[in-house]
Amino acid sequence: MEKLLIILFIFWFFVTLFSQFRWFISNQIRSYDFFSLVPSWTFFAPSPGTVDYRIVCKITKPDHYVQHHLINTIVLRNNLIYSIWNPNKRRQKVLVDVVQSFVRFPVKHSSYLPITVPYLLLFNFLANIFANEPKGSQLQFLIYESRGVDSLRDQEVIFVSDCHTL
Amino acid sequence: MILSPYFYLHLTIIICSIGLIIASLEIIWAKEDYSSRGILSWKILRLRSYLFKIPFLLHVSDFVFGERGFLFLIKLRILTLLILIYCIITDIDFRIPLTIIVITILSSNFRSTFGCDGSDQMVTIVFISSWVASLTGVKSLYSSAALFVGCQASLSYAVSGVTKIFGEYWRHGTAVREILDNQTYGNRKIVLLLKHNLWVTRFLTFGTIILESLFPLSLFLPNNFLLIVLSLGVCFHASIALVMGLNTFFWAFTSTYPCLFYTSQVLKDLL
Repeated sequence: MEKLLIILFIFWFFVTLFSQFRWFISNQIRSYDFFSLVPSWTFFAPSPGTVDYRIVCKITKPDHYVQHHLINTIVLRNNLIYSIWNPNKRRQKVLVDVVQSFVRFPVKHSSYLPITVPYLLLFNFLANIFANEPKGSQLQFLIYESRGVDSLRDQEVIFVSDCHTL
Repeated sequence: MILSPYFYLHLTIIICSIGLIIASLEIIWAKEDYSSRGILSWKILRLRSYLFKIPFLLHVSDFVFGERGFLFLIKLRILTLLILIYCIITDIDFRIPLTIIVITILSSNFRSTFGCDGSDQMVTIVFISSWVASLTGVKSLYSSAALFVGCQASLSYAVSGVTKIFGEYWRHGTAVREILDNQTYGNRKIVLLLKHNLWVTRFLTFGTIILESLFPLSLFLPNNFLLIVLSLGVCFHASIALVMGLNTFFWAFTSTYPCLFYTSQVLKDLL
């Protein structure tokens, strides 16, 4: 039992080591790693995240009246307390993960994107923000990236969704 | 001088527990995100597998991973973490609380990987390896678990450092400024400083690559120098928490330092 568990540690370490490289086998391992037991240690590398992602929603009401809303997903950290207590960081990381999954999605299969989990997570989140809109209103969202901690520069639209009836 | 592996692993568990308590409280604070209206709604997350179309599994998973069930798991985790710390300090058998914590960590990981970061991964490594060690309570297994955590921590720094060499921003020496020049992880004051001091930017960027890439070699240094490197590591993670708001990274990674110290002692003894 004892030796078996020691072998388990050695096996776990080497699986982690080999999974750090972008090999076919590492993709296979990750696709079966339902409990996130095999970590990826490539923080901010090789290409670090250097942009903010923002979402703008367009609501078209049944009478064709159009409204645009900027969804506030970024919380500015202007206080030292965020170095101890930062409950917003997970939501921001979800948004980064979701957008990156959109970017990585194969272009030739793009028609399937709206039925993927990341897309539905974002749509569900946005649709619930506008849950009180009149029945038959349409929601379309776009995601754009920007740089700059002060002024937003290099703004670029990276994704525009289809229209969805609420 | 090698203290018992129990000491090092227990110290690691205590520090890691503090971080996990904070992370769990943050989840409860942001509970709206886990509701059916939130960005991490189980109603959507369950669509990833056909298994959840089976009525029994659907029912059970909705009960466990729905808003109420999941928040209950997180609250249970906080309570159990406090019990675990108490048990370790007072030298009481802690296998039951540790088992409950491992179950909650695995459940949380299974529910969603969206929004998870390196601190969650390190917490998983620390608690599961400690749990495996505690199954028999044998010293050699505790030693293996402490070595495993130490090796994983070394690997994490080395991989992170080496992969940075392949990044354009990192090679040009501007990565730190670019990473901080946004609102998600950025910091206005530091960016202003870095924009006017290219050499400081380069020092921080190349310093990060060198510190991380060569980190495993520090395990072979004499204890005094090793402690200096580990202190630098503490400062590194504290500055990341301060500047980027990645607070839980601090606890997760510094918690491995007792095991890194133990790993170093064992390696030096072998040599």
